[in-house]
Amino acid sequence: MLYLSRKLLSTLITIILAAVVTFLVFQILPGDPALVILGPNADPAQIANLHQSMNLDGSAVSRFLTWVSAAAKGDFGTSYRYGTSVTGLINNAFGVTLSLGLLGLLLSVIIGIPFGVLLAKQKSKGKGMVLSFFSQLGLSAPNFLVGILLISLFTVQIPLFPSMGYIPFSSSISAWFASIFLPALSLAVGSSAVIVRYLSTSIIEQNEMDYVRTIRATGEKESLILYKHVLRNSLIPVITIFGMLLSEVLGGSIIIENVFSLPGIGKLLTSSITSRDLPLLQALVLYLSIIVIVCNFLVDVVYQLLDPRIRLE
Amino acid sequence: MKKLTIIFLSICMVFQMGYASGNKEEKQAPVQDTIKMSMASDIDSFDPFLSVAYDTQAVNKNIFEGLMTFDENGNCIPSLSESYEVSEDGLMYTFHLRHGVTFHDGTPFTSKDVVYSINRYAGLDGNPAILDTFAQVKAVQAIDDYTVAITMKAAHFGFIYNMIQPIVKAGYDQNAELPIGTGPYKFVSYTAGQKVVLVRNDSYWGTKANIKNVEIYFINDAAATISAMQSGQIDFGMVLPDLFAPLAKNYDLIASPMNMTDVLALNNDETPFDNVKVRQAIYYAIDRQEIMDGAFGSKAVPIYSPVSSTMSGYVNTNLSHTYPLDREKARTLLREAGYPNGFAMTITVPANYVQHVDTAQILVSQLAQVGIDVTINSVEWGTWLEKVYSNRNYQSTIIGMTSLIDPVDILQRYTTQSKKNFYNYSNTAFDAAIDEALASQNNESVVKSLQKAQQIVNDDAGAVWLCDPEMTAAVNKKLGGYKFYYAGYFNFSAMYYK
Amino acid sequence: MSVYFKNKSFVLGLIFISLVFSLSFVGLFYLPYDPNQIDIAAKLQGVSRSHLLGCDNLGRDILSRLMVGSRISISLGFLSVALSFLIGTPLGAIAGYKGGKSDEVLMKFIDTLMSFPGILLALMLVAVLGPSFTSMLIALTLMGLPRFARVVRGGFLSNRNKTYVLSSKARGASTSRIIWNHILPHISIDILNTASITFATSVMSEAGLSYLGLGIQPPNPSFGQMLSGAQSYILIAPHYIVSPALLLILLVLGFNLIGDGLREIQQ
Repeated sequence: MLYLSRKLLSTLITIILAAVVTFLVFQILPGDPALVILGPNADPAQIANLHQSMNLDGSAVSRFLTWVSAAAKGDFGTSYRYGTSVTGLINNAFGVTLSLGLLGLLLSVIIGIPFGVLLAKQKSKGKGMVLSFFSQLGLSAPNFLVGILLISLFTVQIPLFPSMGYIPFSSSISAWFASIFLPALSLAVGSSAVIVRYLSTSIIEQNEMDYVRTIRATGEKESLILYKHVLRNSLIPVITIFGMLLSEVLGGSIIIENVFSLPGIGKLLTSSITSRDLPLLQALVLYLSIIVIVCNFLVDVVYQLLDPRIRLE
Repeated sequence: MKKLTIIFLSICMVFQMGYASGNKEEKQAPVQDTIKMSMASDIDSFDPFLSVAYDTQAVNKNIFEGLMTFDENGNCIPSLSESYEVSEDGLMYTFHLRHGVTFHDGTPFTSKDVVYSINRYAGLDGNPAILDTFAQVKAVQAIDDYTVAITMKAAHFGFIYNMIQPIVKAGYDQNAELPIGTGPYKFVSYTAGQKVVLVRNDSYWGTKANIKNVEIYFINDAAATISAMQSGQIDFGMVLPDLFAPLAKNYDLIASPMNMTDVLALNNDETPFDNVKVRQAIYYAIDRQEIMDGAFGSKAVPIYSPVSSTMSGYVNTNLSHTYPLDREKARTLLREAGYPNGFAMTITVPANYVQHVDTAQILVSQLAQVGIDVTINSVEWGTWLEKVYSNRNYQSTIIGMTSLIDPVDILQRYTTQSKKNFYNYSNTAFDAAIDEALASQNNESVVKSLQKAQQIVNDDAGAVWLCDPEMTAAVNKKLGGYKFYYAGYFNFSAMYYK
Repeated sequence: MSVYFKNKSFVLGLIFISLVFSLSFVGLFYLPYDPNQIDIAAKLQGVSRSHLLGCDNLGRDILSRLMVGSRISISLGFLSVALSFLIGTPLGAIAGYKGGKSDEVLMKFIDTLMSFPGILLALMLVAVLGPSFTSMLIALTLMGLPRFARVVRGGFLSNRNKTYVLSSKARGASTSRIIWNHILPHISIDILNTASITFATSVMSEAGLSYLGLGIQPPNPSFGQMLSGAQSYILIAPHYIVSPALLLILLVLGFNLIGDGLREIQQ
């Protein structure tokens, strides 16, 4: 109980810190939000009107505190650019990003872990060049290249999937799946390669350690050694990197959303920064810090599950 | 574990086979009752009082209508008003409204809607004005249900072009969420960042649209747009001319200048551009054709003044022979101006406009040939707006200015007093010519004054006008009736399936 | 010495890296064309005898641009990764080894850093410092830092209570000795992996940032610039994107192979 409330307090501090820094950064940034949103061809009266609705009077401190008190009640204001409620925008985008992220990471785990184990096995026998090559290809190939290739292959050459747009889970499960499968696959190509890399090298590393030699000397079966002892320890760095992948992906995969025209958090984030849409940006940074904190917390929890010797106190 | 992978992927296959079988038709031919269009940028707002984006207005013109509209040749023609008269002194306009028009929710259209809308635009109802272009309106009055009189503070020849602005239902302020207009298409839905859906207005007063449904998808990525067309998910949309080749089998590439002027602005207040000879030298050193080929895939039209050649009545065609490519002349002028060894300059470009960045890179190599050393300063859009446009803190820059149908509008930006004069160009003779045009009562004298103004600013090389880039659309061969307009307008009702 | 050259991975990795490095090295003395020389007539031309890797959308020779651009990208990439490593590793080590209060405080800093979108960081740096190699370097370093910190922390957390560490402690080894000589070697492979992946990510981040005008200024080429420039033309002029992408892949592959080889040799 005490641990939980301490954790909560600590979380709050991080969030407030992030919010303050964002607010400060915004004050320094050049660019008038009204002009950015309306553009240089706009009528001066329209720009003046937009300024009015942005409530830019008052000192920076008072404006920040106003925002904080509203945010505490769950009111994140109206987006400068879209003119609608910030929470509404984030909710919609979140659904898309969540679907993409979870499916993408699920695929990368399903692909990554078995191949990681396989690669380690091959390498210990002195083989594995081909698999290693392909996995590193996935690692270093640019995201959008993979995306466009998949689109070319599976929407143009073989019309299996749509190449753009998102259909929510609530309207039709099969259409939802079809709309995010290719983007999730693009994501998975890169992420699974990362998992394969960390896992395979980690397993090889573990296999050479003394404790494994000791166990092997007792004559236990190779596969049992793998699953009961080695894998647990090898997964530590994989979990760390997976946690980072998770928070990155939930923070919006800007490139993949762009290529597949998915209205996710990534698009919202880029738009809020380039349009100087402060209310939207503040709320998004808040959302991002919560995601980061939660993911890192989950990582720590899994550490302790994998290896009780890891005590975080 | 590998088996798990195979099982999972098989499940994926089964899922999407259900989807694919329902959509096999998609690749063969467009669905005949729907137009699917792609757009690169999202809608900014459906509310005509709030929206400024070119693309948004191009869509909105199907939902809303004004007293007047424009045709493909840029002529102002009647829409919600059947006819109008102007008083002798140009101070009063009387509009005779069309009978039998209803808004999409069934409310009849009458003069009270016109009065409401114009009062909002001009700020005559206590709220701040929405458009400065309505500043000369003194009052609006409903004479009866179908007649409206607008009194002006001063005569302004181009005022009639303002009547293109959408008429909104009196007192209705929900247009941002559910736009209600009088146009040939009704709003159905909007998903932010994703798509807009429209449906035909079957009670439209004019010629009903041919195609029942319109779906507009926002696709940001150029290559993804092409793929979407290749796979049949999009029937038409703007594409970069360089990328059209893979679509040639099933699509036509249609191009038309869009009444936008791409200009290399030379800050007239900054050395060395305060010297007219230097500006002229740069003019002589530029090869427009190379820029049009390189940055616009040869799909552009050269321009020699702020007015695009598409404004055929108003553009001064005598200017097309001025400043031909002549490097010797450029070097001579530079010598005369005191720069025998050239000089160094910076071009600030907004990074998000690839064509401007490319133009800048081409200019680097062109100007190097006359001894001018150019550095490119590529900045983020918000920064460009603040630094260059608002604060005029720049040496030179490249930007495209969109024009309205009103021919005076774009030239007015060069007048000394204009808030939009980031060129810092100033010439009293030019200002006088513009004032003349504004006060003119007939088209002939307006044309004369505007052409004079163009001659003046061209003589002064106030800026270097490059080209009017063409809007290039890829249209499915089965789709006909796509027309280009000189202001933003995607005319869906004129389109049809062959 | 010969041991190194007998190892397949090491040799292959060395070859790949040398290929890329020699390309940029040669670029210091000789370039087939002026990398900024525009030739509109040659727009998007494919591979040919006069242009070994073809031309880009303004008719510039891709090979020459790569030779110059690889210099910029490699230095930017390596420097930012090195800095992220130098700052992130000690942070992660202390957090992971000491645990408790230090862990909380250090991770709070890392968490806050991770909450910031890279674009915002870069935008602010550019606003204050102007677009330059330095502002890019700082932005990329800040973006890559958390990875090292988290991975190293994880490694230390999992290793600090292991038998071999406890026995070293029992034998009286100092903290720094334990950290440097015992634990760090065990997680070196994770650090190497993080370094190579962060290198690839930093090039992609640079591409994304140059899209917005926050990266290397045109017409200076860099992998990122070329990748973002080539994006639209993937379907009609694939040669434009293949070359920089291939070089990037070679670099990452080579780096990883050398790492693998070194480790194989080590035992």
